[in-house]
Amino acid sequence: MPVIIASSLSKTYSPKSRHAVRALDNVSLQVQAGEIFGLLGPNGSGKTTFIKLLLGIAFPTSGSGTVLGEPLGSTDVKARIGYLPENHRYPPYLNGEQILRFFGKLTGLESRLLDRRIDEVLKQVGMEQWRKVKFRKYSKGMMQRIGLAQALLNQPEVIFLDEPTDGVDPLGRKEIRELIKHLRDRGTTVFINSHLLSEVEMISDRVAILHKGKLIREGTVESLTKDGDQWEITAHGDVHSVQMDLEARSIHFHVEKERITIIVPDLQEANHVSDLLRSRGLLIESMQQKKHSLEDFFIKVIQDEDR
Amino acid sequence: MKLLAIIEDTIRESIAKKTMIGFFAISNVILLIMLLIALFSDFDINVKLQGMEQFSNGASPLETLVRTMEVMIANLLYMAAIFLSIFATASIMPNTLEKGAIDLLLSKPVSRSTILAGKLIGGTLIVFFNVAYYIIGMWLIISFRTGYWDSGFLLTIFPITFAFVVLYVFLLFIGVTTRSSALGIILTYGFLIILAPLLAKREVFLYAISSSETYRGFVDVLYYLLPKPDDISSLMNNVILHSEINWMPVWSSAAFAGVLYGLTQYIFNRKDF
Repeated sequence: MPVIIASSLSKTYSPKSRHAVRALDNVSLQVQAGEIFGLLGPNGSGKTTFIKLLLGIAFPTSGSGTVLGEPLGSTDVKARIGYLPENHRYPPYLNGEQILRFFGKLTGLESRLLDRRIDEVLKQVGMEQWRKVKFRKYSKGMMQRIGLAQALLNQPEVIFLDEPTDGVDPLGRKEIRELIKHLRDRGTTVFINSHLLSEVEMISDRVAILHKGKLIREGTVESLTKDGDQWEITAHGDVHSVQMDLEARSIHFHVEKERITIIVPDLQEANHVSDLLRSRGLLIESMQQKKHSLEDFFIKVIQDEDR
Repeated sequence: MKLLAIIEDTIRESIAKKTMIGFFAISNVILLIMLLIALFSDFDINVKLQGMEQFSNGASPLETLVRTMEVMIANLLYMAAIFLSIFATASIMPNTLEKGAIDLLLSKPVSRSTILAGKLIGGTLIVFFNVAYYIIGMWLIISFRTGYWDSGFLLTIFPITFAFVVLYVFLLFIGVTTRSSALGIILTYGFLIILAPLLAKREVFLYAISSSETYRGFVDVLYYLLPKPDDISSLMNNVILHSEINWMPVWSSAAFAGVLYGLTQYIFNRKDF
């Protein structure tokens, strides 16, 4: 069941001015309940604008949509949503706990529940010991953690994370990835905007790519990163014994010392080649469907679009 | 509860700014000086005022002295409080609308009208408390020392706060439309220092420029449309002196603030962030 539906959403900033900017152009997509959805795109591609339209922070020039079944910008539905904006700015005169209390009150959490949730989310993001420290004294990573805690306070059904690991160290990034997976396992729908493609690849179920305001690709990570039906076989042993045969069958391979890496066009050919390797006494180390990394795929499609 | 949270945050933000603390500290210093004078001056005020009846237009000399003192104090406070308060509150709306801050507020189940109302009420309350603290403190000191208790001076809390609110609405408008606190301060000070006094004394200054009926009509329209801080100051003096009060400056300034607040809300409701 889709929890986010965007139908032909477009956004033009300053539409009547000479400097009109078409930030989003006819974007339609759906995000299913309980999935981690990654929205990718270069800077200025319209990722943040898309989230802002969904949350009613900005208004669409045309098109429509729903979040959790409510029309875009509905105030009531925001009680069921969490949001971590990019470059969030919290009141610097408040400490971590006060920030959470303030935003918890705005979300409409009742006082006792709010106390409990503050303890829980601070623990979840590893900020318990910094709860009484003023926000202005936090490092970038700590700010990000408090931002995440704020987005989790109301146990949202859908959470929007705009660059959630921005400024966080590798260990912290891993913890955030684990947290996001944990949220998904509990049934929360997670919508991520990120530049860190390797991270998105690690955790997302589906991704979409925005470029110059247009949706240019959408699908599961696996379907987008799959490189046709090609398979890659790696083996080691007497590699010279198979080279002639492979050349005769016009199969691509690469030899490095005792190790050979072979690319075959399909699964059937992969089985033939693996039989050949075994018959010549080579040990097969791996045989897997060849994939691009999400980053390779992303760069390729962006370059294709720009041509 | 949501409105209260925004009011509380606005008050915290104002307190975090040193200007309001400075305002409060200056109030305390002046109150302390007045208290010391009241405690350690050993002259009998009634003796000093003997034979002064001819200068007090039928009122008792003590009453005239106290009310004159109160008028002077209220006028000083009126200008100081409004200038400092504008300086301290001008950044409230632009700060709220900063990228990263407004996104967070608008992602919560809070209407834009609640956000704007919270900013208005929060800014007003902090100024009200500061003014009330000073006026009540001063009133207690003067009344204890002279033995003349008159509530007129206490009522000046309201015209001072009212004048601030009208100008604060203008600051909110500038904040929402331009997100600039500097422009808000410049325009408000410019209005307070130049335009408002000229309009209040338009018969003396502005009418002298031209005898054209159209021009004078235009000046009159401006006068009636815009807030009247100078006339509200005169009204405040009349409250202290128990003189007749002309309410026109109050309702016309309130109408200006009301319309401008509505316009600010309209723009804020339709603005992209």
